[in-house]
This record gives sequence, structure tokens and C-alpha cells, in this order.
Amino acid sequence: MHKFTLAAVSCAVLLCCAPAFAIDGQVLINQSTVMAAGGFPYKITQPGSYKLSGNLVVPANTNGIVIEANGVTLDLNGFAVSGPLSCTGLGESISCSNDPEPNPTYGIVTTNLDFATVKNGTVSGFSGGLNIEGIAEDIFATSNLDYGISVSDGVMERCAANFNRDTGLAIAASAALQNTANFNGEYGLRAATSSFSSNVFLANGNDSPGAQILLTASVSGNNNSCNGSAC
Amino acid sequence: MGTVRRLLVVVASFICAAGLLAPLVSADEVTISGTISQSTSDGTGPAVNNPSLNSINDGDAFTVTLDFAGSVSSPGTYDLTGGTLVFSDPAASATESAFDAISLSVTPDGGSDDISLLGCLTTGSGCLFGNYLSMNFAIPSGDLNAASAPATLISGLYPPVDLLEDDGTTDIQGLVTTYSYSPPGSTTGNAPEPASLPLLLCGLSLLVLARVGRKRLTLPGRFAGRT
Repeated sequence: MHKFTLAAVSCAVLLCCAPAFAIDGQVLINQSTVMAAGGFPYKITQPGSYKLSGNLVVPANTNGIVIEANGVTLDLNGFAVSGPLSCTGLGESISCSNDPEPNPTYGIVTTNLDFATVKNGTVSGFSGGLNIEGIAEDIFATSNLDYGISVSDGVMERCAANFNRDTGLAIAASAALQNTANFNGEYGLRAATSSFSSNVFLANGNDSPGAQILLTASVSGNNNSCNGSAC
Repeated sequence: MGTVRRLLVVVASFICAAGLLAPLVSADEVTISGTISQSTSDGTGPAVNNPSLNSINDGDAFTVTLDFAGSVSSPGTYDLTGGTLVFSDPAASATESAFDAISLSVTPDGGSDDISLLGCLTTGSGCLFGNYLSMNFAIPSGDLNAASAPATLISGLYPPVDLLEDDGTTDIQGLVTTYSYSPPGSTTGNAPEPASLPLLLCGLSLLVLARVGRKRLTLPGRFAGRT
């Protein structure tokens, strides 16, 4: 009888307790996990590695992902963070619908001087597609209102910003390397206290070479191309 | 011995009644139907935690059934943990039901409601590390409690069905065609199956009863032969 009871208890325990263990890894983010966490904006409040496992479609008048911690790496994994804005036309003729002004929205944004790395994906349909302190790599930004990608105190590398209504790329106290900004409504690049090299700017603003880049404060550049000419 | 046996009879009766009647307690049910668009034959996996998923083929019809206490009748996010969520591909005899945390959200989106469902698997390294069922699709506004409503893709959210297992190694994907909501008592699907644990305990209780009864019948001495 004792053996029988022991066996019965063992069976019950085995049935009740599913295996559960945790290892270090990337936290996956997709539309369902965001909605289950309370919806947008999705806030990252802990350092770590995060990765999209699907596109994110962000409703009007809110940000997509807000990074509120230092030491965050966000891999968009080839997916897109999309807001409700849609733009048509190119260069100076770009017009966008669903303008959220005066309350701008961002696809991905850092706050409170939190530094992050964001890479490998698309941001579109916001006031500002990507607005971070830190590193932006391999990001494509399009159909954003004020700018496609803005980086402060960091590095912008191998990014492309096309068909944004105002500015394609914006850097402050940063370096911009091997980026492209084409067919944006005003400037390909706005830069302050920064350096930029090996970038390409084409058909931004009024399509004149002088409109490709707006430089303020102390800025240095080399080996860049503006409408096919060195600039 | 008689008192003990009577006590055992009462306990066994309660356990058996609970096991057999629990599934009949009313619960709302959401059933989502569609077809598989990506299976392990497409190079994802193979499935290890749940090998039955390896039998799924592209084009198979599947259903996802969510039973839960309470109701979903308006936009919002619903924590349905405690409910049951079952992914089933009958043609492949494949099922997945090892979900614990379950969340359903309904978001108005123009003339439709966007439905987002997340079921976290108990297997692997946890929900956030690629062990979940994720669904995103739209239905016409006003059809949230409809017996049958067409389900459509939300622009930008593809695939509408994503079943990730083995820490993301296995990735079964699908399209959603139909959404249906059944209020309590109107379930028209498969007959409910009794929960396994109460049934097990029921069986064990009956075994114990039988054993006690046999011991009593075989008591030696002056009680022998008095049955």
C-alpha cells in the first residue's frame, strides 16, 4: 500500500509540474507580446538584448518602442516598426497624411540619456522614425515627417533614409559613416558638432547640391557625395 | 475499517464528480480557423518539444480554440490565464496545448477590430525567448461575439499566426480565415474531454477503494467466510 501511494503521488507530481527553466537569450518582441504587455508604447526598462520576431504596427498618437535603460541592444531582425503616417511624392513634393503635430511620435526612441544600439530593420510612419542616443546600424527609414533617423552622442552607420518629408538623417555630437539619404523633402543630412564621411546624398530638397546637407556648429566631412559631386 | 471505507467512498465520489463535471461548467469559447502556410518541411525545426508538429504540412487546416471564464465583449486587453488554449491540425494529428499565460486584446481600427492573441508555452526557455503562439488578425466591427466572422490580415502584420517552439527553432505559421465566438452553453465543437488530472485521481481513488475492499473480504480469523 505504501508503494502504491508513493507511485500515485509521483504520477500526480509529474502531471502537474511542466518543465520550466531559463537561459540567457534575446527577448523576442512582436505585436502579440506588445499587446499582451498593455499595448504601445512598448517600454524597454531593463538592459539586455531584444529582438523583433515580427513587424510592429503602431496606432496613431503614440510611440512604438521607448527605451528607458542603458545597455540595450535592439535588433529589428529585418522587421519593420510602422506608424500610421503615409507619405507620397518625393523631394520637395512629399506630402504626408495623419500628421500627429503638435505631439510628435517616434518609432523607436531613447529617453533620459539612455544609450542604446538599434539595428537591422525599418522604421516608417512617425514624426521621427528613429531618435536615439547611441548607435544606429543598418536602419532604413522612410515616410516619416520630421526626420528619418536621428542619432546623438553616437554613431550612425550603413543607414538609409529616403522619402521622408523633411530631413533624412540628423546627427549631433556623432559620426555618420556610409549612409544614404535620397529624395527627402528638405535635407539629406543635418549635422551639428559631428563628422561624416563616405555618405551619399541625392535629390533632397530643391535638388541643388547646397540643399543636400545642413551643417551647424563644428562639423567635418570627407569623401561624401551630393548629387554625384564631392561635398 | 467500515468508517475508513465510507470516507474513501465520499472522497472518491467528489473527485470523480469533479473530474467528470468540470468540463461541463459553462465557459466562453473563441475558435479561430485557418490554413498552415509554413511547416517544418520548409526548413524550420524540426520540432523537439512537441514532435507531433513535424507532421504538419503546408495547406493543412488548423483550429485554435480558446476556452475561458468570463466574456470578451468590448475592446481591451484580457488576461485569460487559467483558460485553455489548444492549437490543432487534425490532418496531421498534431496538437499543442501546453500554454499557461494567455492574453487576448481587442483594438478598434476603423471599421474593424484588431485581435491579438498571445499564448505562452510552458516548454523551452520561456515565452519571451521564442516559445509561444502569437496571432494577429482583424474582424469586422461588431462581430466580436459573432458565431462566425471573416478574419483578415492586418496590414504589416504577417504572418497572422506564428507558433514558435524550441526557443524559436520551430516556427509554424498560418493564415486565418474565420473567427467565431460561442457563449456559454452553445458550444458546437467537439465534445469536451474530462480533465486528465481529476480523471487520474478518480481512477486512483477507485483502485484504493478496490484494494481496501479486497483486504476486508480476505480478512482471516473469525471474519472469514462471513460475506
